[in-house]
Amino acid sequence: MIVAQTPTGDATWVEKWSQRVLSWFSQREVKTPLAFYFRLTGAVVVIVLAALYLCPAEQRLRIFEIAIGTVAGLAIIVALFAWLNIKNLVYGESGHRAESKLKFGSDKGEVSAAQLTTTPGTTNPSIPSSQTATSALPSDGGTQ
Amino acid sequence: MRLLLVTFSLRNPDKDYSSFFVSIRGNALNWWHYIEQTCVVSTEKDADAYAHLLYPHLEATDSLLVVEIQPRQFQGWLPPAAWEWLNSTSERISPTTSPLATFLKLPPPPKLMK
Repeated sequence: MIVAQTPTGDATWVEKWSQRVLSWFSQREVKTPLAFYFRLTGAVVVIVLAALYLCPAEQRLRIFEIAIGTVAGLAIIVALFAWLNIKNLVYGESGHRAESKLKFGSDKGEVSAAQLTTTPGTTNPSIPSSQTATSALPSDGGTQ
Repeated sequence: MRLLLVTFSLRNPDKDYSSFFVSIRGNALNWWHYIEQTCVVSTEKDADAYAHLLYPHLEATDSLLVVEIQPRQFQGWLPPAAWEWLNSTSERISPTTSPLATFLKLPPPPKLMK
């Protein structure tokens, strides 16, 4: 993070805090619903603190109750997500891109990348080879 | 029907290439993908026509090569399922036995004695 500095080399507290606030909106980009709800709790805290500061003393208990209700509501939403379809809670841009890629395998059946790395290969069984299959591999003493 | 090898390099990390992959599958009768950035497809189109269908989904800095493969003219190191697909698709494109003999499962004709 680039922090504006004074000629003496020390960033002032105003600059530090403005950078921190800006990074909150830019660098920590929300990419999943879970991240969004997590960010929302921070926003609720800020709003409640501002409301408590600005409102008359007799309404502070009411604001406190609303804040508790909002946080409980968020907790219920996240719990419902986790219970009904936990994948949606952490589904984001990277997940969507991974899903839209071409899967390994063929039209007869798809295989995962992990499955592919554990499946040993062979030469074409329909073509009789002059060398044994494994001796052709460089790692098994074959020539390149 | 033809067997085409499609190999590509998609270089823009910010671009969503979903439509490219959809186009590879959508314009093929059968598809095979056991090597990264490489596909083999069976299609009625020739290499030029198939490549033209993929161009709209590429950027100027991407690369694409489409080559026709002759059935059974390939060798390498692959999982058995990958060979099974290649060999069975080759057999469909260019059968080694007549379809009638396959249907009737007739034994091969006896060799004539000289």
